[in-house]
Amino acid sequence: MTSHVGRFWAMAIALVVFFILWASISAKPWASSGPTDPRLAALQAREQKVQTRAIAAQQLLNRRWAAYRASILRQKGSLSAQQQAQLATAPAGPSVIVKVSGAQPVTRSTTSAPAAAASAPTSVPGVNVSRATVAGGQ
Amino acid sequence: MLRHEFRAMGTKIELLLDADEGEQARSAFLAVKEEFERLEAMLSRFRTDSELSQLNREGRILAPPDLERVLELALEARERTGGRFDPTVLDALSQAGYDRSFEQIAPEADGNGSGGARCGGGVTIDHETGSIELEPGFHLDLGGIGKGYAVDRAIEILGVAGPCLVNAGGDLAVRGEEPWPVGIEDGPTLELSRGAIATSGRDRRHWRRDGEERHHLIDPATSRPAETDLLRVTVVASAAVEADVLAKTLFLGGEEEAAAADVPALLVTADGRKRLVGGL
Repeated sequence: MTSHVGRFWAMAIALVVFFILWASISAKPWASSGPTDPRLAALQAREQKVQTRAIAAQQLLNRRWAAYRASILRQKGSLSAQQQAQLATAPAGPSVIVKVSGAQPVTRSTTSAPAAAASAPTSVPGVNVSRATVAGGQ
Repeated sequence: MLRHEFRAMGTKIELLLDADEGEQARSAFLAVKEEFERLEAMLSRFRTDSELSQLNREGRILAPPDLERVLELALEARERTGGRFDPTVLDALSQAGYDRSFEQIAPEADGNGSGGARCGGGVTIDHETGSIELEPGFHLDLGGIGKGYAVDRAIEILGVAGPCLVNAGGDLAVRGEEPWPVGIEDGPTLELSRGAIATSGRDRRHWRRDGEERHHLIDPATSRPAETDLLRVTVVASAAVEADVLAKTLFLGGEEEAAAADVPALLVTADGRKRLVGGL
């Protein structure tokens, strides 16, 4: 019984040693890093260059985005100040002026419904102007 | 009076301008059309390439200023209305069956069961970086305010060319000294000299799922189409965004609450009665 166990361990250790040797030899540790393929070197250099450019582009984008945000915030601040100034100087009045009338309506407010069709094409791209006859309008 | 019509944001856009025909009027019409198209490309939930869709997909984006502004207005409205107006209703809308543009919804179908969708999700806007972040599990629909925002932008642009009116499928605003007569569905004509009008209701955008009537006005408290004694509400306010928010909020509140709100409005009840309230 003991000899069987001994044989088993001997086999197992031999197998492990064999695979370690195999792996070591396969790795060719004696082989020096000889001259690499010039195409591979060029590809690696190009990859490095593209990565550098991508980082630079991202940094530029971040800087421009920050500048754009700052400019928007400045514009908002300026607009807000102008609106405050206008409100301060404008005569006070209601924000809504409305009354019921019997005039012919120029348009209608309904619950939003899908449109039936688009407007007809015109000589000026995208713009089709027609004259509206309005009774009681402006 | 010059009139120009085109289609955008799933509805007919009508522009009226009290000016002589000429280059300035044409340029103004074109600028308004381009503005509608630009905002639709940004705010539509039905366009996979819109910034809104990107935000719903990714949960966080660097947003263009207009998306940031619309969302800011929507969140202000949510706070002001105690959550009755809510931009995070997309999942509830989809669950109700409004998961594609209205023209493509089957009038009657099975499926799209109930439960699961929630409203009232967190939205974080970082004004310094311009980024918007959604709480995981929530998605945005800006249909309740986007058109009003576009109308407010359009009236600013068109107003440069003269007194004008912009009507985007019922959301409208006017600019000019003289009053504009505007017809209200099932109601009187209103002469509007300053301000905006919006109509919200369940009389047009509705369909059936599992034998049950559904519509597009979601009550964030239940995450289901609102159950109210009103059929339609038309509101007059200082701007189209405000009118949009008020119309939906009053609709959800029901007749008595809407009548007590001191907002100029026409209420049409489910049983067909019409009430002018708020000093009209």
